[in-house]
Amino acid sequence: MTRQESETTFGRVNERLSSVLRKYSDTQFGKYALIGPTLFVVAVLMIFPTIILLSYSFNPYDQGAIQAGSTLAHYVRAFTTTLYQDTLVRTIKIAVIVTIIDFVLGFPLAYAAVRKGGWMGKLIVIATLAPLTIDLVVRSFGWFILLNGTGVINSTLMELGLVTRGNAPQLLFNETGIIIGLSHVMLPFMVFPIINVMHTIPHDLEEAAQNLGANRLTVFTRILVPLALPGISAGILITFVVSLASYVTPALLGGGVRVIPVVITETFTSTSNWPFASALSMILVGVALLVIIAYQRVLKEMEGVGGV
Amino acid sequence: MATSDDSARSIRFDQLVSRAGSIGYRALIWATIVFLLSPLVVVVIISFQESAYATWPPQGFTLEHYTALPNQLGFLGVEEALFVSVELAVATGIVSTVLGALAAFAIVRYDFKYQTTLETILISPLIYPWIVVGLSLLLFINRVGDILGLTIELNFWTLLLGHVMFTLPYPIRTIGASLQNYDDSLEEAAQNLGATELESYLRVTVPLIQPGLMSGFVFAFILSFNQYIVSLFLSGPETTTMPLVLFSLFYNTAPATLAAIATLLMAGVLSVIFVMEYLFGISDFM
Amino acid sequence: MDSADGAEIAIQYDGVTKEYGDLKAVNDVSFDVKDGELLALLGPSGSGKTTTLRMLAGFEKPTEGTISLAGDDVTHVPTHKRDTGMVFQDYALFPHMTVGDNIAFGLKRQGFEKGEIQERIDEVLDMVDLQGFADRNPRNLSGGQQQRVATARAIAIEPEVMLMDEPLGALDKKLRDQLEVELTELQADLGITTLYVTHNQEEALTIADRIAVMNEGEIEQIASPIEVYEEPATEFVADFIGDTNFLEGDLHETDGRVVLDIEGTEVDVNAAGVPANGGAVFVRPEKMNAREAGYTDESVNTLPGTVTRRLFLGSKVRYFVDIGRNVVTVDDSNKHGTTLHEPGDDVVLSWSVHDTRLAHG
Repeated sequence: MTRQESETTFGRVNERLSSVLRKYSDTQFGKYALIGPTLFVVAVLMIFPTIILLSYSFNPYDQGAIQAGSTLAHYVRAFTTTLYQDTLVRTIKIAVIVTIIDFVLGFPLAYAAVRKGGWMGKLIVIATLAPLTIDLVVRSFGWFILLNGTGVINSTLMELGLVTRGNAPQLLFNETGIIIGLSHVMLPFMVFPIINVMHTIPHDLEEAAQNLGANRLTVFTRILVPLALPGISAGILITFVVSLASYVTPALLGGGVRVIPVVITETFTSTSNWPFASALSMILVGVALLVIIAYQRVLKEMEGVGGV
Repeated sequence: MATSDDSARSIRFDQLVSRAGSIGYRALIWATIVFLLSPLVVVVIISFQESAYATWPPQGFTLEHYTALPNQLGFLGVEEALFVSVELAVATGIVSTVLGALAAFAIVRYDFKYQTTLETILISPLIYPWIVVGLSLLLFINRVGDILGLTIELNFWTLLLGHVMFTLPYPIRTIGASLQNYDDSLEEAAQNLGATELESYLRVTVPLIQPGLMSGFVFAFILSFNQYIVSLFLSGPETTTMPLVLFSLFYNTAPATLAAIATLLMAGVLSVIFVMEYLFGISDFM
Repeated sequence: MDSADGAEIAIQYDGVTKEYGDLKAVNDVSFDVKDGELLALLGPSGSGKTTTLRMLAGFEKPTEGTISLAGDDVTHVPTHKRDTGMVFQDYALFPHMTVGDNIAFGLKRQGFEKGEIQERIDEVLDMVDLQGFADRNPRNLSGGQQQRVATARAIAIEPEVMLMDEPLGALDKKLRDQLEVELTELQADLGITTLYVTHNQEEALTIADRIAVMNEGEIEQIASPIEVYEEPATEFVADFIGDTNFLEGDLHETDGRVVLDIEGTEVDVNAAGVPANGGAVFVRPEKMNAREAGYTDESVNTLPGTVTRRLFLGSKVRYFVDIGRNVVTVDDSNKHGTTLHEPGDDVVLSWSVHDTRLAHG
């Protein structure tokens, strides 16, 4: 058989590379060679830096400089100072409220996207996907236009005579602003995992349940929620943890109301107290780790990388 | 005991409840869609109205916020930042997609001893706090510099490290999904017909998982392009990215000007997505 | 290599074993396929037949043993350098290429010129009766058409041997019957040595020159279709191929005859002796006749029984007859003058001693 290619450079590279691929394709070396670079990147760029972050969080900070030794002072300060206590509680409260709002809005939306299908399903998917692709600053700017004192919402309310300039609700530069902005940012993270799992639930099941006399509420609580649980829990966990660690939206819409990531950034950029910034960050890491461990359980049920 | 009249009434009541429920459900869906799109739409509207401030209702129609842009962009630092951001997003997209493709291939084709743990580690950057990625990498780079006894300057490459790190899970997911839909016997068929291993991957596997590859690339590109907090920690003086500039413009420039810049950015990103969807059908794996 | 070189053996498996961990998928298999022959590997799923085929293509490496193609040891030759053309169970047509490009794929690898490739595409599409399909997308073809394209793609490269892995498995019965005939004709016309994997015994009986029956990684028997059916070497083969009545009773040797004692009635068995590990006596349903009660004939085996069910199948009548220890199936041909028995009727079953076979356990 004549293989003209073998005389060209490509032909030689081709033969060489293919014989290497063949030699290692079904070996331990082969599979770790494939996954190795990515594991290396994750280990070197996530795990090691986190360990260094952890070590910084124990470094004493005195007279404007980082000192040798180890101390729990930064954690004590974070959990016992009223200012930081309040910030921690507020950050968690906001993340919880955002998660609840997004589930209440996101589940019906995901359900409609899958069951309605057609142009309505497409519209929902596009409407959910579009904000995800737009810069956070731009989205916060959109909310600024909508929510500020003379913004779209208050102007409209005043136009309708429902409120006056004096008693118009303050929707911006407070927790409300952060919650609205973050709910918008996080909604796609709630909707897509639920859409994915909803695709795998046959519609017949709901009809069968209704046929057996179940009303809509029963179908929802007894059929949909249990079957969609892997998607729901993934959505809830992601929404909660990412809300907790969000910086841009709270920084732009919160005004003087601050959350932990805002405090971390301020501490890091305006003081040299890296240890305290590190300790606050480690609290976020701790929550993320808990969620990752829980998420592994969820992942197990969702089978493979394509599921989530 | 219920009379027939009672039961008729209760059926009517049930119908009423279910009617109200379905109207309420529809209203909720539409309200949510409005909620999702309104912050984007108002930015576009504001950019076309006459006042320099974000006043409502919009007054008149003008293109002057756009026509005035070319003179302002250089002064605002937008031009340079846009260049850095595009360059960074393309580099991040390519590196993440290549690494993610290899990892996805390994996960789908081979069995690992701790498969679930491995998959969790690989996709954990998905929920790892971005602020921690930025801060800890900065500390890490400093520490490495200390150990090596030199000062590592923050530049394009330090930014790229952070961006690759947090975008990696997306290509792994999209490519993994497309590989799971792919029939391995096609590679065998190619080799049986005389193709080498390399040829069978390049001519059969890669073209067929292209939508997964491309949507992984687009995901990584967009996430990198929009990333603020990681860049805040890792960018050097020469490498200010677009989101950093937008953030600083937020309260420091006329809203209508910012709206015009934002509208152009949205148009740019959405056209990239539409072109990729038209060319490669990426939406199947989004 | 052609037979002028004196090489009559196209494919040779020698002591081939394939292990996956502790599992022996293929266990010490040896056989030859002659030039131009069609050998069917027949067996239930998990019997190792597909693994055996895939090792010849080079998709799997044997743990032990050697495989030769046209006299050359190819055990360690990479897939793309083996001169085989494979038709896959699900056809494995490249969905991103037209029918023509699918066929051209192998030809391009061999370095043919554009014009030659075009000619060859037309030629093979003509052979499988798909003239003018070159520009079609394989996704838009019917199952039967896809099967033909897969065959055309494999024969286009003029391989030394054809490998077919359940090539008709995904088709409905009528289409399968038709394609069985077409495939056999094509194979005979081209004179191409073929290894054909199937779990469908009818298909194997119809198309194969010889059948290798596989079970649990081993070859139970390798012989012509007639021999495999009429003289199955083992109980497994007797059971797997065709309908079989196993007769239960006490097997022993008296006066140089092998006899099966069924509840006092003796039946002569066509065997030279009783194997050490016993064996199973069986008769095919169509070899038996159901006669009126009281029928006697010293020259054949007879056994009384009672009809429990009757199925009228048009060309034949199938009776289920209770013979005490078990129920046997009897197929009577529906010829003029045949009297039909009713369920509950007492009958006498008769069949020749020659058809009373003994299979090894």
